[in-house]
Amino acid sequence: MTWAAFSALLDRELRALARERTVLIAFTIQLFIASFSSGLLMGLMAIYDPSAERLSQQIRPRVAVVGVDHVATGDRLVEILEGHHARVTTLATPAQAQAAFEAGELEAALLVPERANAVLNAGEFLALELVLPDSETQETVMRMVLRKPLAEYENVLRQQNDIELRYRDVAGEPSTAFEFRYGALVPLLMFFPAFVTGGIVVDTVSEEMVNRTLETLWSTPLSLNAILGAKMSAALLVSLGQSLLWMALLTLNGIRIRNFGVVLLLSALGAVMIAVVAALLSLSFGDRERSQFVYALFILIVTGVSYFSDYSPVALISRFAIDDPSVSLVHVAAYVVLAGGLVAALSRASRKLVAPA
Amino acid sequence: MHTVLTLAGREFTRLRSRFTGRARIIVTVVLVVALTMSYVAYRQQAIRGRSLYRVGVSPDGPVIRDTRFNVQTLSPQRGEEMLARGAIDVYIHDGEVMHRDTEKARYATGALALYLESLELARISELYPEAEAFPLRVDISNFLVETSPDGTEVKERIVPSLTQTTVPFADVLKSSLHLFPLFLVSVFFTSGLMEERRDRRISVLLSSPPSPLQIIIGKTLPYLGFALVAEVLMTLALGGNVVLGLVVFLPVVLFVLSIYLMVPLVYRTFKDTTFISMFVTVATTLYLLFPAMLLGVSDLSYISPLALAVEMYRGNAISWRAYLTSALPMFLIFGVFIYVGSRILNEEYLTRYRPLYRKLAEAVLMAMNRRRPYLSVFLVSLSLIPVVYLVQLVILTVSLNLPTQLAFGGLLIMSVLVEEVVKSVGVVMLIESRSVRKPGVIVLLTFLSALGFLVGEKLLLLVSIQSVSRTLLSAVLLNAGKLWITLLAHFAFTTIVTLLTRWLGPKRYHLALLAGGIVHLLYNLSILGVLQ
Repeated sequence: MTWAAFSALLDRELRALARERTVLIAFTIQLFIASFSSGLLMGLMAIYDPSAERLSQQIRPRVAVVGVDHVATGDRLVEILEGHHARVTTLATPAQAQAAFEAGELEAALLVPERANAVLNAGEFLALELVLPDSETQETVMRMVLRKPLAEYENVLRQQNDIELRYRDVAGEPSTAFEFRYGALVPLLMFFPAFVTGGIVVDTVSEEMVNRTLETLWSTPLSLNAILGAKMSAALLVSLGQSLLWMALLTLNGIRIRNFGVVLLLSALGAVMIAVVAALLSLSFGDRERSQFVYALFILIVTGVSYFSDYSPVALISRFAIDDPSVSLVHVAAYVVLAGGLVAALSRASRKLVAPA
Repeated sequence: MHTVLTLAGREFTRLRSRFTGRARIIVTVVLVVALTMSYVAYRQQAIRGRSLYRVGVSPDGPVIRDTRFNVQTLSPQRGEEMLARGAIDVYIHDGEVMHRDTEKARYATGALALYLESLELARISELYPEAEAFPLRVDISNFLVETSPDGTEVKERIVPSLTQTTVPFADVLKSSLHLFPLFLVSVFFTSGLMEERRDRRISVLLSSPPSPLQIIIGKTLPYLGFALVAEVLMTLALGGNVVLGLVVFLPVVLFVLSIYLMVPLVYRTFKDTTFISMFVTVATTLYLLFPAMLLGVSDLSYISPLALAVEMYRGNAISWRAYLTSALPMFLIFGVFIYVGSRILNEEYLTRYRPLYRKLAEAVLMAMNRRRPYLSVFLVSLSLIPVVYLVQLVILTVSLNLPTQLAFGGLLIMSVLVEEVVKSVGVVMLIESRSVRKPGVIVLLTFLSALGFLVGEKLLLLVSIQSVSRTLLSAVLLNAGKLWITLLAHFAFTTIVTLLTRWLGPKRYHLALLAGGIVHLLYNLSILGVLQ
């Protein structure tokens, strides 16, 4: 095998990928979808977990507490609500609350039953009534904003029963967005190019096999391993380009990726391993249909396995991206060895798997 | 029917022949492993990440079982030493949580606080009577406040500390497991057609007595069967109602199969097919997943059948309107794509290699009866409504989540372009094929196209859930205004596109589209009150 022949084949593969503009279009659209979905999911989190985006501090609901004197801890209820940025008014009757709502002065009313003290003294639970606007959006926002103060008031009642919740004073930052970014988004985007690489390898190898052009190529000075190497290298270069693009996009979106080079290396190693398996499958089955099917199953398995280990490439990408001090290059080296082993296995098995006619 | 069943039987035999001997064993093993892994991964609910935080716990501290935390049991001295040098983010000792003063450590503490709260709630629920452990209930109702002794009608009773408003990730994830077998079946469906095209067996089949429609139905039937069996098994495995599961997922199966039918009919090379399939898979998954994430926040979530599946697994009732909102566009798209597929399944179309937009435009032309252009353009607009509806509902859903100032303009432009393309494509293809030339005829055809579009749109809005038609932006995207004004507006914008295409030539269709689109956009902005 000569380097010139190898690079000529690599060049041919890259040109073929670039020539078929659908490939580039598909990349662009996937890029768009992924960046779009991250924005969309962050929006969803703002809806479901307002504290994650600090929305709950920006919303100052106007709440009426009706019958605050009916319960001994009524003042605490008002205090807690005000502590969560609510603008509280105390009213005597539900009719007053209704009138205030109709006058546009209220978003919610909390009705304390007349027998509240008696109920609590009897060891039963207290049932407050929360009256909200009959609008899906307004009701949802109010329920989310008022959940925390109500849970806090529940704890006041709990303390009256001499029940104490431990770890109540633990204060930290809402972690939802952080976990989504580094636990799901970054690994997903860094491995997506690897899955694409496998798809390209399956197609390009099985296309040569089905069209019997692999035999023609093999009759040139190139060895079978060089042919496979060139095809895989072309797909890997595409993958590397995509990974870099994702990382640039994430950085532009304010998602800081620590250990940039190591994360990129892990993504590339994932692509190498997946590409080798894709090549082995294509050579074994010899047609696209079965190869793509088993390849899809393989991806499912890889995704499943990744969830069980703290040292899977997916977990490692997350951990390096947040600069976890307990992971080191030793863990990456293990995957370098594994990828090297897989490449060696492919080069040994390739001739046996594909029998020339 | 007999012909269709024969073709289906042949397809089944072909598929079975691909998995004999060693291949069958390999595929069976890999399939079983893949399904088991997916199920176990789902049960673990490790979607939130692994080992994101490093936590030290003293020997008498709480037991933490959450994949997000990498937990070590450490003596107080060692724990504090490791905390000081940054080897752990948080250390728990003697009921106290200590953390480093870094951003990540604060996130770790926030996550830990919620986790410990859930542990504590579980602990007190075991130790104390329910009324003492959870002494508060909140009955939720809506204004008007009733002053009668019976009180207001209570919609729901909640216990505040046990009510978490979180993204229904786990439930939607569970329902999305239904999509895996569907996409796997589609690999064979697409590949089968691709191979028949490649080795020209499809040409032989087309010269035989079965019609293209019979061939398509015959080839689709086995995969429809596999997909439905897979959906039943999945529903059983996840503990759902089998009949309801089938009702919910039948439109999804038909929708996905119809899309995957078009991929090999439009494309020729393996790589093309893979990339377009990949795109279709990503786009379909996003379309199905994201609206479902809004479940409990907005009824717009019912755009996706996955939201219905979540309701099914929760044991909640599903209304007919909610079902029709998600299912009807999918049934209609299946019908349209099967019809278009039967029209383009011919030697000439399959062997011609053109860019995607050309192939799609030609598919529209071939779907029309050129001897009846007036009826054809009306039906083209009408039948493409479900496609527009799906695209615009996605736009609408997205608009609820993104900052309005940023997204508004882009969303409006996208929806305007989608609409104008659909309304003009039939007429423009007739112009390009020289079937029509006279401006008067073009104007009449455009009117019928606009009418078809409006009729289809109103019919779909009629069966949709109210929240779709009530949303502010839907007044613009789905043209929920006065009927005659809407018809005239539709007609006017598209006439600009078609007449300009006639005068400038089909090669400058993009310019004509831009001109019509700009006028349409200005009209929409005036409806929204942005322009006075």
